[in-house]
Parts: sequence; structure tokens; C-alpha cells
Amino acid sequence: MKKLTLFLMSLALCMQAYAFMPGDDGDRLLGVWEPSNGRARVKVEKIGSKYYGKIVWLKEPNDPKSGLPKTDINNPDANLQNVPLKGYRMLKDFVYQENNQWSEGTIYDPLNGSTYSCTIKMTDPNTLDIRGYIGVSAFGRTDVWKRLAVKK
Amino acid sequence: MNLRKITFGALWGPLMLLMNGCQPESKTQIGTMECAFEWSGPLYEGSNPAQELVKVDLASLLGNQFQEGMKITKIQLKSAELSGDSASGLNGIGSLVMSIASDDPSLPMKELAVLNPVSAPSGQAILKPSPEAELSEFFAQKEFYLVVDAGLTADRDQNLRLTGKFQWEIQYR
Repeated sequence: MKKLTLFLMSLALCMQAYAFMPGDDGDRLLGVWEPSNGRARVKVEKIGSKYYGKIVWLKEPNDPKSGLPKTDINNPDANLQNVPLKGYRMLKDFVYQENNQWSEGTIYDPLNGSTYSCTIKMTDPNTLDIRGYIGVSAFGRTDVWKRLAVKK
Repeated sequence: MNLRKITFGALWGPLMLLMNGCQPESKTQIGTMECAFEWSGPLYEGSNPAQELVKVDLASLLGNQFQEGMKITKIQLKSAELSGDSASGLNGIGSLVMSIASDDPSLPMKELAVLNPVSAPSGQAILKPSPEAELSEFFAQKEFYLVVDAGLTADRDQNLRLTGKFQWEIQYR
């Protein structure tokens, strides 16, 4: 009986640790993240109840031709092509769904001006699986993002 | 077969014209809204967002044109002006981007207007609105967020406060 109690307590502790402290809410996504290509850093913030990620650092912040800071030149809306790329929200409208997953959002690729449906899964407190897709999640691509200031 | 088509067209065409003719004429009204955006210092170089929760009040926007149950068909941002508290209020701001967001999962954030670079010696910045952003669904909600991203050219210790004056073109029946 004592062994069983100990086992159950250990199991409960392990499950709690797996759920990532502190608390079980979407704010764990807040912070600065780096995609696998290392060309940008994205800061996740909250507006209302949704999560948004904006570019806060670029490996190449300036346009090589003009020498000026890059803008969103591939935006399909010509009126917005002058929006600075540094500060642009490439992750938009994510809603926390429990189990360390955020969905309902989109990811924008400034290189071609395309927007894709996207889901985020936090595989550990410092790692995200970002899956962009068109239509069905099965037909997509996953990128691994790392948190910049590592949480211990 | 051709006769059937002609008969169908002859009956259906006038019916459609009659139905369209019965619809009330679409009208347009400009509604003005003012709100303040505040940033608490210290602020860092780069983009700094401020969000303002806006309670939708069509009666206030439409004035005496407002009627209960009226159908709003289209809303667009017509003009966006941001001004600092003093003439030096926009100093150190390199760009301004305005967006709209909602807690409703079916309403994605939209960028509405931009000014880059900011050149506003008078302390007033006129942003260039995007006519492609259709906003009637946002105004059908009880509330939404207006977000202003101020791109700072350098770190700043002081708070920042900008007053926004926005004109919305509202089409209704």
C-alpha cells in the first residue's frame, strides 16, 4: 500500500513537471524565439486574449541594394509594403488550446508574402514546433524554434 | 431548348431587377473616433506596441443617421492621424503602424495604416491607410483592439503618449 501511494505521488509529480511550470496557461509562449535558420528573432506578445509574434531582430536588417532598413516589400497589399520588417508580426492570432498547443493562427513568410495556417506545439519550455500548412495540417512543414533566454 | 432559355431569361431578368430595385439605397457616412495610446518607459529601440480597447458605438459614429437594426455593409479606415502631447512628442519615432485585432478567433488581425519614415515636425503624423482592409465584422463585435506600433530610433526613458484621430467610412442601408 505504501509503495502504491509512493508510486502515485511520483507519477503525479512527473505529470506536473511535464505540464511545465508555472501554471497551465498560454502565457508560456511569451518570450523571444529563434527559428532554425537563425535569420530572425521573434518576440511573442499578447494582444487581448490572443498571441502574436513580431520580428525584433534580423541577421540582415538592411536591404543590400538600398542600404535602408528592410520593409515588407512582398506584402500582397501594396499600401502596406512600406511597413518595417523589423517589428512586423509574422505570427498572428494564436489561441491557447491546452496541452501546450496554440492554434487558429497564421504564419507569414516575408520572403514571398505568403500567409499559411499555423499551429504551435511547445515540446519543452525552450522549444517550439511551428507547423505551417495550407488547408490540412498533414500537408505542411514543421520548423523548430528555440527560446533565446533559456528557461531553467 | 433556346426558347426555354429565352423564356427563363425573360422572366428571371426583370425579377432580379425588381428585387434589386426594392433594396434600400446604400448610403455613406464618415464617423470620427479619438483615442489615446500610452507606452510606459523605459522603451527600447525598435517596435513598441500600445493597444487600446475600443467599445463599438455606432450611434456615436453615425450621429443622427443611426437607426436600430440598420445594416452596415462596409467600413474602411479613411484617415488616421497620430499626434504627440507636445511638438516634440513624435521625436525619436521612426515609423508608425496601426492595426486592428479582436478576441474573436474568426477575426484575424489586420494592418490598417502605416507611416515610414515619420517626418512630422509639427508633432502630427498622417498615416497612409490601406483601402483593402474591410472592417465591418470588427464593428459588428462589442469591442476590438486598436494597436499602434511605434518604431523607436533609440532607447527612451520617458513614457510616450499619442492621441489618435481616426475617420471611418461607413456604408449602410
